[in-house]
Amino acid sequence: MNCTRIRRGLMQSGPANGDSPADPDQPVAEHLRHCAACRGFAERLQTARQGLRRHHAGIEPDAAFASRLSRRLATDTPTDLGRTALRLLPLSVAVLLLLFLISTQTRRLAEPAATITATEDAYLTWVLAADEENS
Amino acid sequence: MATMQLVWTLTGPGEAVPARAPDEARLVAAARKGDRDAFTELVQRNQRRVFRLAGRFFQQRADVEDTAQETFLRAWSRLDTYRERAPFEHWLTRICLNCCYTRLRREKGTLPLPANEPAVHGDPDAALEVRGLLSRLRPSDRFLLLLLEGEGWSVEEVAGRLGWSQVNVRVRAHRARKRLRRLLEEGGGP
Ligand SMILES: [Zn+2]
Repeated sequence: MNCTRIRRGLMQSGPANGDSPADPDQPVAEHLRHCAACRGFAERLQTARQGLRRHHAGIEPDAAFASRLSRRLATDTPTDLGRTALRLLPLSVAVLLLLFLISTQTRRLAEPAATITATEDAYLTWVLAADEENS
Repeated sequence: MATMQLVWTLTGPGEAVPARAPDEARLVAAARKGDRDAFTELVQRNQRRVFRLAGRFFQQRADVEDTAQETFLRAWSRLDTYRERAPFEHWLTRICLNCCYTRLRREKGTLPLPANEPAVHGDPDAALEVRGLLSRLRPSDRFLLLLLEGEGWSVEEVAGRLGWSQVNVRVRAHRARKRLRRLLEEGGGP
Protein backbone atom coordinates (compact mmCIF):
# COMPACT_ATOMS: atom_id res chain seq x y z
CA MET A 1 0.00 0.00 0.00
CA ASN A 2 1.39 3.41 -0.89
CA CYS A 3 1.54 6.44 1.37
CA THR A 4 -1.26 8.38 -0.37
CA ARG A 5 -3.70 5.49 0.01
CA ILE A 6 -2.74 5.06 3.66
CA ARG A 7 -3.30 8.75 4.35
CA ARG A 8 -6.61 8.81 2.49
CA GLY A 9 -7.71 5.85 4.56
CA LEU A 10 -6.65 7.55 7.78
CA MET A 11 -8.65 10.66 6.81
CA GLN A 12 -11.76 8.57 6.19
CA SER A 13 -11.50 6.67 9.47
CA GLY A 14 -12.47 8.26 12.72
CA PRO A 15 -15.36 8.63 15.13
CA ALA A 16 -17.70 10.14 12.52
CA ASN A 17 -17.34 6.95 10.50
CA GLY A 18 -17.68 4.60 13.44
CA ASP A 19 -13.95 3.76 13.56
CA SER A 20 -11.43 4.36 16.26
CA PRO A 21 -8.43 6.33 14.94
CA ALA A 22 -6.31 4.66 17.62
CA ASP A 23 -7.08 1.26 16.16
CA PRO A 24 -6.05 1.13 12.47
CA ASP A 25 -6.50 -2.13 10.58
CA GLN A 26 -3.62 -4.58 10.04
CA PRO A 27 -2.13 -3.38 6.68
CA VAL A 28 -2.28 0.24 7.85
CA ALA A 29 -0.66 -0.59 11.19
CA GLU A 30 2.04 -2.53 9.33
CA HIS A 31 2.70 0.44 7.01
CA LEU A 32 2.85 2.88 9.90
CA ARG A 33 5.44 0.72 11.65
CA HIS A 34 7.80 1.11 8.71
CA CYS A 35 6.97 4.59 7.32
CA ALA A 36 8.01 7.48 9.54
CA ALA A 37 6.38 10.05 7.24
CA CYS A 38 2.94 8.42 7.51
CA ARG A 39 3.43 7.89 11.23
CA GLY A 40 4.07 11.63 11.59
CA PHE A 41 0.99 12.33 9.47
CA ALA A 42 -1.17 10.02 11.62
CA GLU A 43 0.04 11.77 14.78
CA ARG A 44 -0.66 15.22 13.33
CA LEU A 45 -4.10 14.05 12.23
CA GLN A 46 -4.94 12.70 15.65
CA THR A 47 -3.80 15.93 17.33
CA ALA A 48 -5.84 17.95 14.80
CA ARG A 49 -8.93 15.84 15.50
CA GLN A 50 -8.56 16.26 19.24
CA GLY A 51 -8.12 19.99 18.70
CA LEU A 52 -11.25 20.16 16.54
CA ARG A 53 -13.26 18.38 19.23
CA ARG A 54 -12.05 20.85 21.86
CA HIS A 55 -12.40 23.88 19.58
CA HIS A 56 -15.30 25.58 21.28
CA ALA A 57 -15.89 29.04 22.68
CA GLY A 58 -17.76 27.71 25.71
CA ILE A 59 -19.75 30.96 25.92
CA GLU A 60 -23.05 31.02 27.83
CA PRO A 61 -25.86 33.54 27.29
CA ASP A 62 -25.93 36.22 29.96
CA ALA A 63 -29.03 36.70 32.11
CA ALA A 64 -30.32 39.58 29.99
CA PHE A 65 -30.00 37.93 26.57
CA ALA A 66 -33.66 36.91 26.28
CA SER A 67 -34.96 40.31 27.37
CA ARG A 68 -32.61 42.12 24.94
CA LEU A 69 -33.88 39.87 22.20
CA SER A 70 -37.47 40.46 23.24
CA ARG A 71 -36.94 44.21 22.84
CA ARG A 72 -35.55 43.63 19.36
CA LEU A 73 -38.59 41.56 18.46
CA ALA A 74 -40.72 44.56 19.35
CA THR A 75 -38.74 47.06 17.30
CA ASP A 76 -36.45 45.49 14.74
CA THR A 77 -38.21 42.73 12.93
CA PRO A 78 -40.73 43.01 10.17
CA THR A 79 -42.52 40.06 11.76
CA ASP A 80 -46.03 41.42 12.04
CA LEU A 81 -45.89 43.12 8.68
CA GLY A 82 -44.26 40.09 7.07
CA ARG A 83 -46.71 37.68 8.62
CA THR A 84 -49.69 39.78 7.59
CA ALA A 85 -48.28 40.11 4.10
CA LEU A 86 -47.76 36.36 3.92
CA ARG A 87 -51.30 35.67 5.08
CA LEU A 88 -52.77 38.20 2.67
CA LEU A 89 -50.62 37.15 -0.25
CA PRO A 90 -52.85 34.34 -1.58
CA LEU A 91 -55.87 36.60 -1.22
CA SER A 92 -54.10 39.46 -3.00
CA VAL A 93 -53.03 37.16 -5.82
CA ALA A 94 -56.57 35.76 -6.12
CA VAL A 95 -58.06 39.26 -6.24
CA LEU A 96 -55.52 40.37 -8.84
CA LEU A 97 -56.20 37.28 -10.94
CA LEU A 98 -59.94 37.84 -10.67
CA LEU A 99 -59.60 41.50 -11.67
CA PHE A 100 -57.38 40.46 -14.51
CA LEU A 101 -59.83 37.82 -15.73
CA ILE A 102 -62.72 40.28 -15.55
CA SER A 103 -60.77 42.86 -17.48
CA THR A 104 -59.75 40.36 -20.14
CA GLN A 105 -63.30 39.15 -20.52
CA THR A 106 -64.76 42.58 -20.84
CA ARG A 107 -62.08 43.77 -23.20
CA ARG A 108 -62.00 40.39 -24.99
CA LEU A 109 -58.23 40.18 -24.92
CA ALA A 110 -56.90 37.31 -26.94
CA GLU A 111 -54.13 35.68 -24.82
CA PRO A 112 -54.19 36.24 -21.09
CA ALA A 113 -52.56 32.86 -20.32
CA ALA A 114 -48.94 34.03 -20.47
CA THR A 115 -49.52 36.79 -17.93
CA ILE A 116 -51.38 34.47 -15.55
CA THR A 117 -48.59 31.91 -15.73
CA ALA A 118 -46.00 34.58 -15.05
CA THR A 119 -47.93 35.74 -11.98
CA GLU A 120 -48.35 32.20 -10.69
CA ASP A 121 -44.69 31.46 -11.27
CA ALA A 122 -43.65 34.54 -9.36
CA TYR A 123 -46.00 33.58 -6.55
CA LEU A 124 -44.67 30.01 -6.44
CA THR A 125 -41.07 31.24 -6.43
CA TRP A 126 -41.89 33.58 -3.57
CA VAL A 127 -43.63 30.90 -1.53
CA LEU A 128 -40.87 28.36 -2.09
CA ALA A 129 -38.23 30.88 -1.09
CA ALA A 130 -40.14 31.78 2.07
CA ASP A 131 -40.51 28.10 2.88
CA GLU A 132 -36.79 27.29 2.65
CA GLU A 133 -36.42 26.45 6.33
CA ASN A 134 -39.29 24.09 6.70
CA SER A 135 -38.92 21.52 9.38
CA MET B 1 -34.29 6.17 5.07
CA ALA B 2 -35.77 3.54 7.36
CA THR B 3 -32.37 2.71 8.82
CA MET B 4 -31.48 6.31 9.41
CA GLN B 5 -32.23 7.17 13.01
CA LEU B 6 -31.53 10.87 13.12
CA VAL B 7 -31.28 12.69 16.40
CA TRP B 8 -31.87 16.29 15.36
CA THR B 9 -30.78 18.22 18.34
CA LEU B 10 -28.72 21.10 19.63
CA THR B 11 -27.78 18.93 22.56
CA GLY B 12 -24.09 18.30 23.10
CA PRO B 13 -22.37 14.92 23.14
CA GLY B 14 -23.25 13.03 26.29
CA GLU B 15 -26.22 15.23 27.10
CA ALA B 16 -29.65 13.66 27.24
CA VAL B 17 -31.90 14.46 24.29
CA PRO B 18 -34.86 16.37 25.72
CA ALA B 19 -38.35 15.20 24.89
CA ARG B 20 -40.72 17.74 23.36
CA ALA B 21 -42.01 19.89 26.21
CA PRO B 22 -45.76 19.34 26.72
CA ASP B 23 -46.63 23.04 26.45
CA GLU B 24 -44.37 23.70 23.46
CA ALA B 25 -47.24 23.56 20.97
CA ARG B 26 -49.16 26.11 23.02
CA LEU B 27 -46.17 28.48 23.13
CA VAL B 28 -45.55 28.10 19.40
CA ALA B 29 -49.23 28.74 18.63
CA ALA B 30 -49.24 31.85 20.83
CA ALA B 31 -45.97 33.10 19.32
CA ARG B 32 -47.43 32.64 15.85
CA LYS B 33 -50.21 35.02 16.83
CA GLY B 34 -47.57 37.59 17.77
CA ASP B 35 -47.25 36.82 21.50
CA ARG B 36 -43.69 37.98 22.22
CA ASP B 37 -43.75 36.64 25.79
CA ALA B 38 -44.51 33.16 24.50
CA PHE B 39 -41.64 33.42 22.03
CA THR B 40 -39.33 34.75 24.75
CA GLU B 41 -40.18 31.64 26.78
CA LEU B 42 -39.11 29.52 23.80
CA VAL B 43 -35.91 31.59 23.58
CA GLN B 44 -35.13 31.02 27.24
CA ARG B 45 -35.59 27.30 26.85
CA ASN B 46 -33.30 27.05 23.82
CA GLN B 47 -30.75 29.84 24.20
CA ARG B 48 -28.03 27.75 25.88
CA ARG B 49 -28.21 25.15 23.14
CA VAL B 50 -28.05 27.80 20.39
CA PHE B 51 -25.04 29.45 22.08
CA ARG B 52 -23.37 26.04 22.37
CA LEU B 53 -23.78 25.34 18.68
CA ALA B 54 -22.67 28.83 17.57
CA GLY B 55 -19.69 28.54 19.93
CA ARG B 56 -18.43 25.66 17.83
CA PHE B 57 -17.80 28.05 14.91
CA PHE B 58 -17.13 31.40 16.56
CA GLN B 59 -14.77 32.13 19.40
CA GLN B 60 -15.71 35.66 20.39
CA ARG B 61 -18.74 36.52 22.49
CA ALA B 62 -19.96 39.19 20.06
CA ASP B 63 -20.02 36.70 17.17
CA VAL B 64 -21.70 33.95 19.18
CA GLU B 65 -24.31 36.33 20.54
CA ASP B 66 -24.99 37.95 17.15
CA THR B 67 -25.46 34.52 15.60
CA ALA B 68 -27.82 33.47 18.40
CA GLN B 69 -29.83 36.69 17.98
CA GLU B 70 -29.99 36.18 14.23
CA THR B 71 -31.17 32.61 14.76
CA PHE B 72 -34.04 33.64 17.03
CA LEU B 73 -35.00 36.67 14.95
CA ARG B 74 -35.14 34.51 11.85
CA ALA B 75 -37.19 31.90 13.71
CA TRP B 76 -39.60 34.62 14.88
CA SER B 77 -40.06 36.05 11.42
CA ARG B 78 -40.54 32.60 9.86
CA LEU B 79 -42.65 30.86 12.46
CA ASP B 80 -45.30 30.34 9.79
CA THR B 81 -42.98 27.92 8.01
CA TYR B 82 -42.51 25.68 11.09
CA ARG B 83 -44.69 22.63 10.50
CA GLU B 84 -44.37 21.02 13.96
CA ARG B 85 -43.55 17.60 12.51
CA ALA B 86 -40.42 17.69 14.67
CA PRO B 87 -39.74 19.46 17.99
CA PHE B 88 -39.14 23.21 17.83
CA GLU B 89 -35.52 22.56 18.84
CA HIS B 90 -34.84 20.63 15.63
CA TRP B 91 -36.20 23.41 13.48
CA LEU B 92 -34.08 25.88 15.44
CA THR B 93 -30.98 23.72 14.89
CA ARG B 94 -31.40 24.03 11.16
CA ILE B 95 -31.86 27.80 11.33
CA CYS B 96 -28.87 28.16 13.67
CA LEU B 97 -26.60 26.06 11.43
CA ASN B 98 -27.65 28.08 8.39
CA CYS B 99 -26.94 31.34 10.25
CA CYS B 100 -23.50 30.01 11.25
CA TYR B 101 -22.76 28.93 7.69
CA THR B 102 -23.83 32.28 6.22
CA ARG B 103 -21.80 34.17 8.79
CA LEU B 104 -18.70 32.01 8.27
CA ARG B 105 -18.87 32.57 4.54
CA ARG B 106 -19.14 36.33 5.09
CA GLU B 107 -15.83 36.19 6.98
CA LYS B 108 -14.18 35.17 3.68
CA GLY B 109 -11.65 32.89 5.29
CA THR B 110 -10.38 35.15 8.01
CA LEU B 111 -10.39 33.75 11.50
CA PRO B 112 -9.85 36.57 13.98
CA LEU B 113 -7.80 35.75 17.05
CA PRO B 114 -9.62 36.05 20.34
CA ALA B 115 -9.21 39.44 21.97
CA ASN B 116 -10.25 39.07 25.59
CA GLU B 117 -11.75 35.68 26.09
CA PRO B 118 -10.05 32.32 26.39
CA ALA B 119 -10.85 30.71 23.04
CA VAL B 120 -10.61 27.04 23.76
CA HIS B 121 -10.43 24.83 26.79
CA GLY B 122 -7.33 22.73 27.38
CA ASP B 123 -3.76 23.26 26.17
CA PRO B 124 -3.54 26.87 24.86
CA ASP B 125 -0.63 26.10 22.50
CA ALA B 126 -2.44 23.17 20.87
CA ALA B 127 -5.59 25.31 20.66
CA LEU B 128 -3.70 28.07 18.89
CA GLU B 129 -2.22 25.56 16.43
CA VAL B 130 -5.67 24.20 15.60
CA ARG B 131 -6.84 27.77 15.06
CA GLY B 132 -3.93 28.22 12.65
CA LEU B 133 -4.96 25.09 10.80
CA LEU B 134 -8.60 26.16 10.64
CA SER B 135 -7.66 29.64 9.44
CA ARG B 136 -6.03 28.11 6.37
CA LEU B 137 -9.19 26.23 5.43
CA ARG B 138 -12.02 27.71 3.44
CA PRO B 139 -15.03 28.69 5.58
CA SER B 140 -17.17 25.98 3.99
CA ASP B 141 -14.51 23.33 4.73
CA ARG B 142 -14.10 24.61 8.27
CA PHE B 143 -17.87 24.47 8.76
CA LEU B 144 -18.13 20.83 7.68
CA LEU B 145 -15.03 19.64 9.52
CA LEU B 146 -16.25 21.21 12.75
CA LEU B 147 -19.52 19.32 12.38
CA LEU B 148 -17.93 16.01 11.36
CA GLU B 149 -14.84 16.02 13.54
CA GLY B 150 -15.85 18.55 16.21
CA GLU B 151 -19.44 17.53 16.86
CA GLY B 152 -18.77 13.96 15.73
CA TRP B 153 -21.82 13.93 13.44
CA SER B 154 -22.06 11.45 10.58
CA VAL B 155 -22.67 12.56 6.99
CA GLU B 156 -26.31 11.45 7.39
CA GLU B 157 -26.71 13.51 10.55
CA VAL B 158 -25.15 16.62 8.97
CA ALA B 159 -27.42 16.25 5.93
CA GLY B 160 -30.53 15.78 8.06
CA ARG B 161 -29.81 18.70 10.33
CA LEU B 162 -28.87 21.11 7.55
CA GLY B 163 -31.51 20.01 5.09
CA TRP B 164 -28.82 19.29 2.50
CA SER B 165 -28.75 16.11 0.42
CA GLN B 166 -26.44 13.34 1.61
CA VAL B 167 -24.62 13.42 -1.74
CA ASN B 168 -23.97 17.12 -1.32
CA VAL B 169 -22.58 16.62 2.20
CA ARG B 170 -20.52 13.61 1.11
CA VAL B 171 -18.91 15.53 -1.77
CA ARG B 172 -18.19 18.57 0.39
CA ALA B 173 -16.85 16.38 3.21
CA HIS B 174 -14.53 14.62 0.76
CA ARG B 175 -13.16 17.94 -0.48
CA ALA B 176 -12.77 19.33 3.04
CA ARG B 177 -10.88 16.24 4.23
CA LYS B 178 -8.67 16.34 1.16
CA ARG B 179 -7.69 19.93 1.89
CA LEU B 180 -7.07 19.09 5.53
CA ARG B 181 -4.89 16.16 4.45
CA ARG B 182 -2.81 18.45 2.22
CA LEU B 183 -2.31 20.91 5.07
CA LEU B 184 -1.23 18.10 7.39
CA GLU B 185 1.10 16.74 4.72
CA GLU B 186 2.70 20.15 4.32
CA GLY B 187 3.50 19.85 8.00
CA GLY B 188 1.23 22.79 8.58
CA GLY B 189 -0.78 20.91 11.12
CA PRO B 190 -0.47 20.79 14.85
ZN1 LIG C 1 3.88 5.98 4.17
